[in-house]
Amino acid sequence: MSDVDRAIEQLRDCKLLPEEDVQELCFKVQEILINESNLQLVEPPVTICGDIHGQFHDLLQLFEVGGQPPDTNYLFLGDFVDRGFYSLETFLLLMCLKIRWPDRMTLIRGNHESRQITTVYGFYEECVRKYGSPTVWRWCCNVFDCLSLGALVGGEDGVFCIHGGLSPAVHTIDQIRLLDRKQEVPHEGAMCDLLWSDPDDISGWSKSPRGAGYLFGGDKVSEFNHRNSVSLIARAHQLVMEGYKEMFDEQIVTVWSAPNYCYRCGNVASILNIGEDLSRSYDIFEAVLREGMELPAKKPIAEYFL
Amino acid sequence: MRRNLHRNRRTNVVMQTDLDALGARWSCVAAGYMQDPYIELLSAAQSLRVSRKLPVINRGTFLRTVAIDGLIETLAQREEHLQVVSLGAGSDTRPFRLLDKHAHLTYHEIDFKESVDVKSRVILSTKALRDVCGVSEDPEEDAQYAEIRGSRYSNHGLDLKVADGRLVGVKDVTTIILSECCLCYMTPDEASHVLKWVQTHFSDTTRRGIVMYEPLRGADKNDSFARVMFENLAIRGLSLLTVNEYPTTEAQISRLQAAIEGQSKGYGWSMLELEDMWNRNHPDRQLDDIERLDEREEWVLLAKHYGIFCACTDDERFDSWNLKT
Ligand SMILES: [Mn+2]
Repeated sequence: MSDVDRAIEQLRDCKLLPEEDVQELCFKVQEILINESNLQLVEPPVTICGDIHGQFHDLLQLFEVGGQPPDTNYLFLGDFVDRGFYSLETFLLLMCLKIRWPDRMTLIRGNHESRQITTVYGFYEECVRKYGSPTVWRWCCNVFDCLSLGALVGGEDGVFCIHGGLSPAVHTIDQIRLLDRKQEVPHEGAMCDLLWSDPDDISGWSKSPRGAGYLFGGDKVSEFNHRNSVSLIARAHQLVMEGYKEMFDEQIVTVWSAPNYCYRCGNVASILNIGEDLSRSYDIFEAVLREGMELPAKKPIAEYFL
Repeated sequence: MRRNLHRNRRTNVVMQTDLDALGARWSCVAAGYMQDPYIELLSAAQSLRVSRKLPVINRGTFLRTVAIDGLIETLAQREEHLQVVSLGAGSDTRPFRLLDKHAHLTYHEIDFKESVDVKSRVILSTKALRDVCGVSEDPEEDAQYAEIRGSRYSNHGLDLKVADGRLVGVKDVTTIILSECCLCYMTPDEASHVLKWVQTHFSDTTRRGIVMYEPLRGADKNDSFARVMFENLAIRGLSLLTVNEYPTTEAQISRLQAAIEGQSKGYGWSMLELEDMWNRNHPDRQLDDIERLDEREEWVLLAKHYGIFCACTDDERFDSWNLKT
């Protein structure tokens, strides 16, 4: 049994690894990720997963529903960390799976895989709480910088996969290949937009209420898909109460994989199975029961206005 | 005995919610939304372990605070004498902030004895607070339990669910009755009793309004956000006992209008509407400029499930409450 197998076993029990093991894992996974291109080519069949946000127990449930790696080929669209109470366990497990089966596990970057965002939304604080210093957070952030920006599933008429969406600065998929991605997510420009933008019922482009990226309309989706010979854009980034949402004549879909988001929203989650023939099917799943689930002591499950 | 034990636990968990609210206000101040010269005093008095909250919590706490401040202050500016009676006031700093600014305002707070006691000790031990409350005498060193009887501020320790008789010092003058997440933890019968009892302090012709801030279930009986909220609060031992009785803004407004008795007007806004109104009225201080949300969806869900609801006697002095015009 290899060290990685042992680490996977331990993490599946939701137990953290010693700090030096984390360091080694981060180095190992960086070596793999840094050699990947900005846009990963993935052969179908593949199961596409949206935001996880540190909901570790729900990630285990996702594997129950979608099949255990490496039996199922997975593509995760980013936002592994923040908000949930188990960002570390979640990201470490995904890293281990990537190291163990690099060709069956594709990880791309979400807008939360960023130094700035993780200091506001929980991952930084979680690292400090669980390891006593920000060291582990720093190593993880270095891994974030190596993550691919997107993926392309299948060849002609395939699926373009990205965390957020389109950018007015990106007309062709080849332009994404030319970006220098090994950096903190910038505040503007193509890389930022790809991780931050959202589709909306508008035409053209408009300012995003998130303060980064753009809102883009169905016309922009059609243009992009036609120009780049893709049949579908699969993206995550937005909570969908029903787990997934297709828009603009099924040319784009939002896949959301964090059930009962933030332990508060009451939504279901989904994963998107892309078949060998590029057919689509969705699996819907709910949050695992909280019974027996250890939540950090003295921390309310979810905050309300009381 | 069993009943008593049960009641005490319910009382304790409800009192705990005051610390949540206090912590949220502390965070809101720390994040730069608003200033509150009294927040550190109250936090220290409760030995509160303070920490920064998520931006959605800060935004909601800010909107709730400024909206209620606004409802009181627009009236305080018009009335020669305005009285506020606050139900389940807990560690609220509003009385001190508003008494500072409005010379003709008087304030009564009601809460459980333990809660009133803590607040009274803070007031008695702080000259600035004694001054603003109009407390002249020096504090008694070994008082078992304290209530404040100042010229401008009084507090009253009692269990609202079984309140009767008259509160000392409450005058039959223009009054705003304030309830922030207080009645929602009572049964519908207990809550109606409280609203009826407060009204007994006033004659029919006295101008009075009720301002209430509470969670909403929404029109859908099976609303999934509300269902999870009930489950999560139940883990803490909290039950929202009136939300199914008054699930929507409309239901809340008509409930309060019924409590006013006689000719009345009603208003209400979800937190989402309050956000929109703030941003429209403050082009130079957009909420996103104070603290940006990285996503809208969760906030929208949360903000749809809280609101401020008002009813008042049919009097043009209350027209300022019609925030939408
Ligand atoms: Mn995202």
